[in-house]
Amino acid sequence: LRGGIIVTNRIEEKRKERAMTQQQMAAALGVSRQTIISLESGKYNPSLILAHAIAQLFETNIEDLFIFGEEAK
Amino acid sequence: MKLKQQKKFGIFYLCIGLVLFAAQFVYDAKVDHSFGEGLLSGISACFIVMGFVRLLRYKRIQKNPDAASEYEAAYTDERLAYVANKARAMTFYIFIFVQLIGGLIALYVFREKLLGMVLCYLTSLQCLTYVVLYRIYGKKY
Repeated sequence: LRGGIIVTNRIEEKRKERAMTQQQMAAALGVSRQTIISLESGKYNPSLILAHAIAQLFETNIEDLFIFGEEAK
Repeated sequence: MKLKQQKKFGIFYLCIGLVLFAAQFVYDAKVDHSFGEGLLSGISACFIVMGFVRLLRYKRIQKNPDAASEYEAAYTDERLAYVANKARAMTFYIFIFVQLIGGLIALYVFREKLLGMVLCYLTSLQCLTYVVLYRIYGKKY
């Protein structure tokens, strides 16, 4: 896999659509609230398993939740 | 680690610390200029502090259900595992250089042959272990 790929996500947007708190989302996924904060701010990219769990929680698919873009050269 | 285990380990560490502390007193009383110049009481202090920290954490978490669920989640949290692995890797990386530089300084500046050799061999052994494990994991995954 070549570098230079930026991953952004719509987790915060989806969470707010469902009027969920970060704490509630963390409890539903079995992770810490800090993980949700890091995911939303884009500091941490989740594993495929966690990404799948988030997509299931928001009743959507991974492609809709995570946006893959190329870094500007 | 489950919450109850946290309590068990807290008590266990505290007991070890107290036993070692008592052992230091016995040595102090029976042997001239205690064994290891207070080595046992130093180790016992570490165990006592570790035990207290675990018991305090247990008490704090036990009273707060939110903190308890956070604590349980922390053991399945992949980000924490990632952070821990990154910290381990960085610690290894830093100490490879620290050991090597320390070893060379011991050898060539302070003329401490034994200390210098031990540090240099230890660095080589760690690098070798890394290469071997890298090859093993490279085949496994």
